[in-house]
Amino acid sequence: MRRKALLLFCSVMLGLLLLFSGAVVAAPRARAAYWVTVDLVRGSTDAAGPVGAQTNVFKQGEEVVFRARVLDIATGQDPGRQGKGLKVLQELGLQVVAYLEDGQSFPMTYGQHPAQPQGREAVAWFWTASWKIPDTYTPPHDAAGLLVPLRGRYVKWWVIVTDKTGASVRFDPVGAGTLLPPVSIVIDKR
Amino acid sequence: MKRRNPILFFCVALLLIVPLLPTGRASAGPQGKLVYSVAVDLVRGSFQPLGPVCVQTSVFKQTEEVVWRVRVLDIASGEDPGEGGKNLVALAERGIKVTATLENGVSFPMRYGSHPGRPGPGVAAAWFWTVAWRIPADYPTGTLRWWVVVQDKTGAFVRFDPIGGGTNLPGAQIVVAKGP
Repeated sequence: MRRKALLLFCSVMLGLLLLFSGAVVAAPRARAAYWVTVDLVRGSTDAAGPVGAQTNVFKQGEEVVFRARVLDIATGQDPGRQGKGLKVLQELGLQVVAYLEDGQSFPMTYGQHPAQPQGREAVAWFWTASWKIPDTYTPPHDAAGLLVPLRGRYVKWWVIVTDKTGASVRFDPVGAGTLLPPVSIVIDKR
Repeated sequence: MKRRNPILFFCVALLLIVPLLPTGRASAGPQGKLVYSVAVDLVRGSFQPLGPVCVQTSVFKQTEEVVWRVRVLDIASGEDPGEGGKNLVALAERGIKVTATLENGVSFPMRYGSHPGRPGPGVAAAWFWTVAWRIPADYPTGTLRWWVVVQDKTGAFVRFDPIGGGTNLPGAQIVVAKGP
């Protein structure tokens, strides 16, 4: 009888330990940090150049698409596990937002790309937001003032990733703080 | 008494060993190796350009110049190990190497430098890694996958693939179009 009780006690302790060790890993970390990379591509709406290609030069009426990849630094993995971990994303409270220096912001959504793959076509999951540049939009700065002068005007941009734990990671384009053209979205008249 | 001891020993041993075992989730990623945060873009170089120079693009024409620009930050500090050009010794000590590679096997060692190269008075400059590849005039048109690898003396190894890498999305590859 005492032997059975001992066995039961050990089994319960072992079970609790396994459960506890799993929960520690699954729960949001107190200090989450993310590896963030962002690029800009031309959207399909009223495109004046190759669609889906990377660019930071647009025309009024075109669509700027922000694309962000967010990885958990601790694991090097996508917290959304390529669409299989949507619940984890929710639990983390992950929010990815693109900002323009004129005050506009665009919350990004996590999704599959291409959205409707053909047959066995490979897909990737990442964060996107699109901004259709109004035909009348005038960015704040003259692009002639960039280190490599361009036609049109420009607006600076960045992306911020936050979660429920208070983690906050800001991504600025390479060369931020300078007047190199890639730090901005350059917009010309059509 | 003699029969109870082995069970007790087994249970205690399990209780001690289980916490030391790695969980499936923890071992799924390259823990401890993601020591650098890497951001990369492509811009059109100034050599025989057929479009605006120094703007981001993934579409080039034969004879144009592809320029990779890479920012490498130490994840622990969030800082550039080269401290914006003020600590080139630290870069050398770490043995940081940044290499851009094309799917055809050609690779390009990148250099850490100031951009613009010679900033005038009052002009802000940024330090990052770059390399240029002039697309040969007879290079086949089509798409070309690419990636960048950052490594150091400690064995740290971070590979950057463009967003959507592994798919056929146009932004994930270099598109080489017919030149002049």
